Amino acid sequence: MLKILVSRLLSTLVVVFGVACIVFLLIHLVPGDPVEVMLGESAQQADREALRSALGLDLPIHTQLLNYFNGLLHFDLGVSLHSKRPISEELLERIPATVELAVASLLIAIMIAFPLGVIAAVRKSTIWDSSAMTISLLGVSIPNFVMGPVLILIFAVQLGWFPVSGREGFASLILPAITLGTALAAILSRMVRSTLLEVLNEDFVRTARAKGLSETTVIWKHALKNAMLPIITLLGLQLGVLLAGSIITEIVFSWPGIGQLTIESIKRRDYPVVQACVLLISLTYVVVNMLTDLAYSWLDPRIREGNL
Amino acid sequence: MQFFTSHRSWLPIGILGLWCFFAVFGTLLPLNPNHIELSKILVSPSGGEALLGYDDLGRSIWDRLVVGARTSFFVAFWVVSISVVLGTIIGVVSAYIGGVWDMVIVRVMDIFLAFPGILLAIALAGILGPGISNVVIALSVVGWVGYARLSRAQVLSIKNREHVQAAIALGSSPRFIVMKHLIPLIMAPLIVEATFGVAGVVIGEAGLSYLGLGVQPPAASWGSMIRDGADYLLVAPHMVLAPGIALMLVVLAVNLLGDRLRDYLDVRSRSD
Repeated sequence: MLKILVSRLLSTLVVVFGVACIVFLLIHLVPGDPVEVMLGESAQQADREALRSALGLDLPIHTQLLNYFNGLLHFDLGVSLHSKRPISEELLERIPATVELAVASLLIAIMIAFPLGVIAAVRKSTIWDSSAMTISLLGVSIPNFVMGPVLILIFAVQLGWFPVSGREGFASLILPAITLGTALAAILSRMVRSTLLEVLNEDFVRTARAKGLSETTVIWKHALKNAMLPIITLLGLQLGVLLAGSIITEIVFSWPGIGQLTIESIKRRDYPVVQACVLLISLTYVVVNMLTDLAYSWLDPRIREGNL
Repeated sequence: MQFFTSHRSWLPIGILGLWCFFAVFGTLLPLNPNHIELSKILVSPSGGEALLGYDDLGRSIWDRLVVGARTSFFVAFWVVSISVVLGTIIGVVSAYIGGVWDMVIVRVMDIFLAFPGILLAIALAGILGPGISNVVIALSVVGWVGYARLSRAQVLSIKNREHVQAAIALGSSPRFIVMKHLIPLIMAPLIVEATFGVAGVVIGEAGLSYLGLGVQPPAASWGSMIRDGADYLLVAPHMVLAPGIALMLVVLAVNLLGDRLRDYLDVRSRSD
């Protein structure tokens, strides 16, 4: 287990380093002079030079990279050009909204995907299976920025049950969470179905049936428990859908989270904030995947004991 | 050619056929996607001339929808072509050469995969500035990794087969082996992956345009049409619904076709 732990940590460190390098390089991809793009053409020469040296863009690139990593290690992400406040402070303000949305969407996804996936797997090749998979296919094919406005149209505009947008109280969370949650549920239900189908072919399921256990016990206690491990790992990977999807969903519903900050900062050409947001989102993804990976290795005794 | 004759393939092939038709021949149709008719602002669909209604500037939604089909088709075509070619070359070479190079390339792929979904494309499109070629660049930078990983895994599993060993023993050049003995064998999964890839790119382009990072006005994209329509949801829902349904139908058709292709190309499941 220790060996797995060390090797996972090392490879994660390499990935984190690479991600940080790419994010650092983003500002150098700005066509032309990034300082000019950020300040606009009417800016004074003195202001330009001031910003250039404030961002360290006048230094040789390896010094810039070193400074960047030095800042990262001290959680110093620089200052927003727009609000003149430390970026880390701005991020901290936005994180709760995004986490709230992500957790709510995840819960909705699980509540939809498990029943759908289990029904489809248990009644394979029946009308149940094909309807469940058709619903899931529809879910995969409707992007967030179509689903969101349609939900707003029905439940906020026509029925008036929920607010159209913004983040004020529990009611405002429901529509964005459904938008993001159904997108995830569509993928997750297919994974639940295929994983459960694999497990249902295993010998221990046949044994459980041969013992005369009821079909409910076989599925919920024997099959689903064993299917949970791969499903959890896949869920970790699908967190990417959630994180990337939350950017667009936050824009649809004016939800004041990290995603909205990312897009607002792109529009304001506040590139240091864009860099910080991209870094935060991708590092969250990397760390969660490492943790699910480790949890998997630890939960599965075959891997934990090093026999596999 | 059972794949094309099966009735379950008709619907997706029909939808995609229409999509391709409007994308390729759209310019030959008498369309005025930027023509403004002030008297028709926000007019709802009512059959006849106002087939799908008019938008907030009095432009015909149908005309813009057809031009939008062109945008999404060409972005999908270029991104998937660039990604498949680049990704396959990188993946096959990486797996065939092995050693340190392979390790480095795997690490690079891991780093690109660490950016969830289209996050990196959003950042790139945002920083490179709007425009259709920047959308293609941004989505290709994200897109190649999937094909590289898939082709690498495929080549690793077949590169020690007897026919490859025989070719090496016969003194064939690595180039010949890769082109004649490896790539033909890994084509099937790549085609399936590329089919699903089209759906991803169509959603990606629309998403970037929705965020205002794609094509620039007055050019039409389904994503930017949805964004424009979102402000008029109360009075003119057709501005969102028309491009939204078009987008959904294309993505659905691609996914259906991908599923069918996967079943068809997977010899084990083709029992009959």
